[in-house]
Amino acid sequence: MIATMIATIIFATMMDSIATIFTAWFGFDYNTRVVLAGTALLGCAGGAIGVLLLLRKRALIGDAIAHATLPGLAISFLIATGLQWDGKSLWILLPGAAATGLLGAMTVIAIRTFSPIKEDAAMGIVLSVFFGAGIAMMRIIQQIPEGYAAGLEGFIYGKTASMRFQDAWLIGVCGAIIVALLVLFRRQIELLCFDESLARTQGWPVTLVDIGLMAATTTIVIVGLQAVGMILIIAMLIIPAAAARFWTWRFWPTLATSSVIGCVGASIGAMASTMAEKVPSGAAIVIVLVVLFSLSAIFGRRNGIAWRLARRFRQRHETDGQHLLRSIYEWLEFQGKKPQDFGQTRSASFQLSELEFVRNWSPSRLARTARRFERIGLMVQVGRMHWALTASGIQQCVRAIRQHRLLELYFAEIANLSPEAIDRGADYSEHALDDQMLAELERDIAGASNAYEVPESIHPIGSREPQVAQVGAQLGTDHGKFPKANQE
Amino acid sequence: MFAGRTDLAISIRAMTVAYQRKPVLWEVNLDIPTGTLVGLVGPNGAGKSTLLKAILGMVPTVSGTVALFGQEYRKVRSRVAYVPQRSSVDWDFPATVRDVVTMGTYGSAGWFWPLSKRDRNRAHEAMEQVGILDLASRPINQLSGGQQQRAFLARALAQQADLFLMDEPFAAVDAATEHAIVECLRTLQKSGKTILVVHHDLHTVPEYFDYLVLLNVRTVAVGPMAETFTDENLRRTYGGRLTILDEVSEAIRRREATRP
Repeated sequence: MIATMIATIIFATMMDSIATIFTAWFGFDYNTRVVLAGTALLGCAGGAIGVLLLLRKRALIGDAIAHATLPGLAISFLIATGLQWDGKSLWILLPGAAATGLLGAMTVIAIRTFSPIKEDAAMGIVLSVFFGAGIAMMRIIQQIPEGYAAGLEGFIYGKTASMRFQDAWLIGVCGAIIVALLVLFRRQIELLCFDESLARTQGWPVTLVDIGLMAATTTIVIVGLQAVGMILIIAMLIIPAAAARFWTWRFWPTLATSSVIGCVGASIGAMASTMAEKVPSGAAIVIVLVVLFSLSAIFGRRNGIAWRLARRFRQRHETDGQHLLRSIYEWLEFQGKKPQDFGQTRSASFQLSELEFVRNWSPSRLARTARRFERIGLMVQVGRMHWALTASGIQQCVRAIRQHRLLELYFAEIANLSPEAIDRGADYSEHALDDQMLAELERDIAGASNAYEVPESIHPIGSREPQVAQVGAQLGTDHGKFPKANQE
Repeated sequence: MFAGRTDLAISIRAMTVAYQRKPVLWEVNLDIPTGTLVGLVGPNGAGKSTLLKAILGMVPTVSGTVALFGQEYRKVRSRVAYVPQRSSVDWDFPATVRDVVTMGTYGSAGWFWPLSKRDRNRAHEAMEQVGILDLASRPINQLSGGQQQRAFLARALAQQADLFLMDEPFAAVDAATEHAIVECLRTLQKSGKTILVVHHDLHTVPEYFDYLVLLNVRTVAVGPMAETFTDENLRRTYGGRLTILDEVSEAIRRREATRP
């Protein structure tokens, strides 16, 4: 516990330095700085707790708690005003909010346990009933003459501008304590989230840790009411966590990333609300968070859409390249001018239009791939419309055809498929071959034969597309004479 | 409170477990000597998984006592490793194989302080032992079923326990993994560990294990494989279910045919 206190002090100091940074950059007064720093720390803690809720599949319980706080707020305000106390002090409002919030969560659990109704339906019932009751009470508050409910509206949509100095400190300290506890009990929490049974057999107080987690969630929701508002506080728990999963596949980094995203979202959103009095901070925070989420979903290192598209594009590029190389080989082989990877620095020449005979591509696709080959030095133009492979082009070409035919032979051996089906199968799988698998294939299939030798094709060249006949006819070749290549 | 027979890895007396008054395990008596490789076999709903959980105190017992190495489970916790069913966890969890295996060492690592070099080495050795060292940095959501099972086994090995309780480690894994796991279990047994495995495939039972527990709510038979894996015992375990009975007699026939 001493360690917890030390960590708290460190975070309090950090909060102060964050506040200093805000002054230096934006010239805010001290009060605003504290508000921003407090909200930033809340974002940090919320982001981290959100990951745990998501992993425990408890994401929506936070929402139920948040919505169920409203009647508690209203009741404690009414009581306090009736007793002539300061009805807007957090020390009066928050305990009330926590009481009905927890009551809401427990009602959900009770409905789930003791009735046939499932958790999602229970959540819907509790959430709407408590929130509806709260709204009704707010109306009553607004109608009584002394009732100046203006401040309370801030709890629904979030309003950092109405936050007081000491409120901000409360929020910041709560956030810092939660972050510190997470750091301390990181292993126990990790175990609880991944495999409760392991945590139990190792003798950790699982139930206690779980209760602690729920307590932390409740605390975040309650102290975050003012900054984000009860309707949108769930966003501050869930969105950073969901966004973080696009960046990393390890537990601890996920927590850290989520914290940072939550922190950035909360501070920018709070700043917007502080500067423009009319903007509800909850909405501002959610908008910033959604922008961060979208950026993560697109550019996230782990599963971002941009990387996925780029990878697919690159793969298609590579596949196209290999197919073209193979086509060149097959065409030259068909003409009896097989490229030799020894002693030949230029292959026999060919025209791109001739390649259409073995590969049914559009001329533009052919030209595009050919230009790329020229750029990386696999092919050179040796005359008008005529191309030839360079030495390295020949080498890659022989490699590509070897891979393909070894695979074909392998398929022919293990699966009793038609030659066309085998060709197609090899087409699909050859690009996934790595060197080790290729070596295995060579050992199994090629056996003792020369490691550089290209096996003969097991199916007639050029017969793979129905259109080939027409292309052949256009080219003036007699497709009837295709060699029935070597089928011993 | 216990008689303290330390040569018995597991000793259960008159244990009853009930879920909402319906008995799942009823008056179970069980003695497992140390250093055995035990198959726990029974029909669906026989309470096999529940038995493991009851041994570990994860489900409340109505009556009866459990002693591990002659002591209460609480006192020998660190000597017991549990391998739950693969499907009991969410494999989308953000962790690498190394992270999962390292979790096995958390129990001895204390509350707060960073893991020691020794703990990390234990995880490393465990991965090496089950042949998943090359997968160490791979996210666990990219593992095949067999690899997941090996990761779980490695995690248990990293706990350096003396008693292993494994819930269906062979469910839906590839042949290579099944073989690797069996090899690994035999190695463990040779070094004096006790392993209790919930198993489904009657055909492989006599081949894999040297001790057998037949369970169908009650313990039908417990003992060395040769004496326990009999037609009569299996009939009593799977009683009345014809298709299973056929399967069983086929297994018996095959076993007798292969006996030298």
